[in-house]
Amino acid sequence: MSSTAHTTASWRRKLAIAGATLAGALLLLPAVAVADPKPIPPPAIPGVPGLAGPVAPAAAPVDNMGILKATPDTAPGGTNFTLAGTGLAPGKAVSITWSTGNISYVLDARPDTVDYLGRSVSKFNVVIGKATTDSKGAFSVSLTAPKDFGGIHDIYAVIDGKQVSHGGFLVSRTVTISPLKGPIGTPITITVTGLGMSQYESEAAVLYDDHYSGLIAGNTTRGTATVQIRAAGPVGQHMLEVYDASHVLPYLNIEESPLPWLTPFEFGFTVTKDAGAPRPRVEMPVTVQPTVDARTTLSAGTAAVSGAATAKLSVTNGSILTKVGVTASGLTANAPVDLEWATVVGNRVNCTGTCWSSVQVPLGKPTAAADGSLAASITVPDGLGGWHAVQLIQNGQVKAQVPFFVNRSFVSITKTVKAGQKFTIHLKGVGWTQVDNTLAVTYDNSYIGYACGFNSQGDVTMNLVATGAPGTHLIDLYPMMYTQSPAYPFPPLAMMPLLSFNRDGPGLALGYNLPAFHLAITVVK
Amino acid sequence: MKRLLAVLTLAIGTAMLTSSALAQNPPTPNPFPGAKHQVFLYVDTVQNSHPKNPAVTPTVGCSQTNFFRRGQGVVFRSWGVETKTGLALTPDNVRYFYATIPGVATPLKLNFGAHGAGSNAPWFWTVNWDIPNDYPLGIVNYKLFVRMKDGTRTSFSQDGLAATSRLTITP
Repeated sequence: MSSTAHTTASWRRKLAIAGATLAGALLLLPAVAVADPKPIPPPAIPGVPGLAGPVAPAAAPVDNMGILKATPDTAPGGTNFTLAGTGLAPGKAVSITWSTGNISYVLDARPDTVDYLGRSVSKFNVVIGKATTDSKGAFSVSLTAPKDFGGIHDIYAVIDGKQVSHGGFLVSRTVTISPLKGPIGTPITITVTGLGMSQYESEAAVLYDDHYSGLIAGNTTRGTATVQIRAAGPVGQHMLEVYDASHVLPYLNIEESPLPWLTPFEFGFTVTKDAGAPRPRVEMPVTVQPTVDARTTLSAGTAAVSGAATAKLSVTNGSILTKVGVTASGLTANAPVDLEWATVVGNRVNCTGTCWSSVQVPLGKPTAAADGSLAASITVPDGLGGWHAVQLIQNGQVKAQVPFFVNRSFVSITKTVKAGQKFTIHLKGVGWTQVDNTLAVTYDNSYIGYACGFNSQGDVTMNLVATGAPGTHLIDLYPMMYTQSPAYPFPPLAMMPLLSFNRDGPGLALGYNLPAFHLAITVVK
Repeated sequence: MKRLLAVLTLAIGTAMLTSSALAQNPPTPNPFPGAKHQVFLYVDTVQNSHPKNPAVTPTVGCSQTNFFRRGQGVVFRSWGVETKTGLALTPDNVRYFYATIPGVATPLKLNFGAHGAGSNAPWFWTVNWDIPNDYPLGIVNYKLFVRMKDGTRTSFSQDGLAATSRLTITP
């Protein structure tokens, strides 16, 4: 990717779009706010471990419960262990159950926005083994600890539908990094397993030389995460620490908490040289199939769409100003078709309630053919990113509509700047929902703030100050969960660089493919 | 361009609509009156100030928690009321009061006594359980049993509590 991926639109084009937008504003539609937050089924993410066994039937504990001995009882998922029980009924079939669960993100997907409310945990037991008690009522079985969420998992021996003995296994956390040395800008892969299900076990925070770099979660990836940060200078030794975090922040004395096993991981990384500023790089999340059809700006319900017309777009995602072919059939023959872009205008600043409105931006007015078909072309407006709808309207009725996802795009960054002076980062296509309206910014792996594209119609222009010694300095822009206006009680992952956006992004289930942008400047004397 | 957008934003800003905050359904209330019980028990667990393993001595003794490390002492505490008389549960009306713990062969007998300094120290039922260093991790499905001198029996278990609220053994 070059540092000028988009050439600036011409003045005439800007004026045309602004005029179109203004005309569209006259067609103001009331904002629709239908609050229906619910856990969204996570998408199928490649490489995520499945459940360790079939879901166990409900079983009640007996009054005189025994205990099970697991050896070892603390290890990473995938470790072999022995489970032994005594004092049970002889000659009985034993089902071994393991407590686990699933985690989903809770989103409120509406026509005019998406709210992010956190996560939902559902707990249950799965069967991980079978055994039979001997003539003395004992059994011993070799098992493999599931590659599961971290933390303590309750194990029950179930006989005749009753939980007769209890044991436990702690799936411990592992963190590795690779490589351990390299020039400035080297991607450092951090691999984490054993992120837990409970709030205080479910996050990890990365510190680089004691600067907050970002947050790692594995809610929809069964406690696993593989993320990247980049080696920041100067040349020499640096410390990378991965702490347990609860509400986005590192828990610095977790040893004194009720979860003392979540001790931090510390690594040394050697920056070998400054080989110059690396080229801008866009890191996309894993490609997944969304699990929910709801898309912003689609007219609520099928009642809004009249007739039997169908429409297709030549592509269903792209950056601003993308040329998109529109084909349709079933339209009223020989009648004009208003092609309109459904979007919103507003912001979340000093906002009570819903401080934005749905608007229609005209894209053109072709005429349907004698057979009711249409072949036309539109240009994606220079506006908000995220999900929009292209609507085909005849005689005031929406005859068909098709969703289109506007990708975030990198425009430019100042390449060389003196220390203490400002430099500019320019992006387009930033969205407006709580899932995609902001980006979190780090400077040399230190979180410095966020940028929002809502009020500026998808434009993000940041004027930052260059600091540090002459040489290469890194600026990384990560997806962020914006949790204000409206604010909900303590949603996790809030307002911080989400390093695990690539596999555990809350918006993935809704088709929000939000990238990270890895940029750099050269500071000169 | 900027001016046009500013006008547009202003125009739309005046037309903004507000909506009610997130609507949430209230939880279904329990029916009233509820089931009648002859004995009411309050039960909690606190940390023994002087566990057998000094390495896991709590920073603050007698502090309420459901998370205990191996080697610590769990102090089960209980207060009770006989609902038909309104009398507190004491040795005067209790025949026995004990706790059963998975893997512990002999039930643990709760004793009634004063706790704390001073003449107004509260009296309640307690028993300590020293957690073995190899006790299984995870939830402890303990139960308390009371038999009154008039023959009434009652028990307490953690059934219905969230897993994260139950007595839990940690490394």
